[in-house]
Amino acid sequence: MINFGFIVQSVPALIKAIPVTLLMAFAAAAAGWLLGLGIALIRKNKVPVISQICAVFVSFMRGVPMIILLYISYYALPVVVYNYGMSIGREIDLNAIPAVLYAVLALMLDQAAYSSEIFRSALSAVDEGQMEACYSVGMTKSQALIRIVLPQAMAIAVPNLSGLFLGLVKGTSLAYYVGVYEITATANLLAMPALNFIEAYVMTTIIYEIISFIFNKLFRGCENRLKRFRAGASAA
Amino acid sequence: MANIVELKNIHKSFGENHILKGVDMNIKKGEVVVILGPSGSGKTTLLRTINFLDSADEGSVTIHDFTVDCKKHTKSQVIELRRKTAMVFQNYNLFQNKTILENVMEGLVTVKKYKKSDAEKVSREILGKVGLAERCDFYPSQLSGGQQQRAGIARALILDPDVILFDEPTSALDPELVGEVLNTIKAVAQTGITMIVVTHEIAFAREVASRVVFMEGGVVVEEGIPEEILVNPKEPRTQQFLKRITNPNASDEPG
Repeated sequence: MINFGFIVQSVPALIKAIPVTLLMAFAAAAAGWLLGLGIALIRKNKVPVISQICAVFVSFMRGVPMIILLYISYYALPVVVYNYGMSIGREIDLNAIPAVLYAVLALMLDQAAYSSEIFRSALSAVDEGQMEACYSVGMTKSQALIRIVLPQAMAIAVPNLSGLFLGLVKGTSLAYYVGVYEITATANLLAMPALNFIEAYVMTTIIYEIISFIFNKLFRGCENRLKRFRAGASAA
Repeated sequence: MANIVELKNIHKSFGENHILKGVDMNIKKGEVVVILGPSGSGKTTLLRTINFLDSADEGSVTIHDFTVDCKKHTKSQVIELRRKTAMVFQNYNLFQNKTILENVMEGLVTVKKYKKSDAEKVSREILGKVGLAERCDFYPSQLSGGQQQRAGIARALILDPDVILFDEPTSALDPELVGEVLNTIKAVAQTGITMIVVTHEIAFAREVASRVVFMEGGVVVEEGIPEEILVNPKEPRTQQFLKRITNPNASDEPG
């Protein structure tokens, strides 16, 4: 039987967990995508050495399961940080670093790798002639990128970024395993005493669906704004 | 009068492919030079080496007393050279994310540091001259090829460059739109601005050019005033090319 009393009781606690999930997603996306754009530009321009390092980074990040990345960040990184602290003669209090920070770090690196490929293909999709036209009127490369090429690349990238972001929101649920009380972890915690798992997971599903729906709409609106210049374009 | 454009011994290869094999060219202020030649002769490449969209392997480019060595040059030298030129592209290459007005203003605002209001005023004027006053706030994707190309010409003109480079400006146009663009280019030529035009439009060359240059196989085969080159060419290769282009059905190889 479905325990409706449990559902009513636990809704407030679950809603309180939503900001934790969203905050992780926003932080990871903001930092990760910026890094991803940087990687894409470096690789597109074939900057020697750094470009190769970036390629290895992207390949590595795409090959490692998210949960392993979280464990590395949560279990291995603190040891490194602690040892580094000791080597410069300072004892770092690892308990002062909240778990959510490790989770965001892992998610951010993952986002950087995946978004860099999205940005790279979007940059390649902008016609070479746009860059040449910029040069022909005397612009510098950075002027051309900022004013002409990136705005067009963004319009191409947004649909894919939207998918990446929704994946990220769901991916934050893995932070449960390193002790971050976001939506999934909270649901589990509430369900455990009386084994109300069905109810808890149904509610969790509904919350994730609503979040996805809202962000899907937001990204769609953003996409339409960015590709305004293609309005009225002929089928060709 | 001094030369405004000087090309010295321009060589350019793409991999194994030696496209330009030592081209020299001197162009005086106000000259309209039309470059003709079969495809693959290197005429577009030559044009693109002038503003370093393709950097030549050897030689030097001088525009208005500013010389850049093709072998050894810095980014800032290239930018300074480019700012003395403007280009009209075969595929228009208007900035897709900007309106027609913004396309024309772009160079003035970002490169010449005009105030936006001043840039807008002169841009609207010049767009009026090319017949696009009503189309200022449209995006390139909303215009016909001919309108886009006229906007491209306005974008080049407004920079008041020492020389405008036209790279096959009518080759991508529907036949019925070629006329309006050629008329615009003619009007520009009459203002006395220095122009280098790569084209296949022989009639246009005859009417507008002050000098015709015929290229083949990466070298200049013959050059002179249009009456000489187009009516009585001396070189057999020029004769063949003109025969082919004026009578497309004629074959120069027997059988």
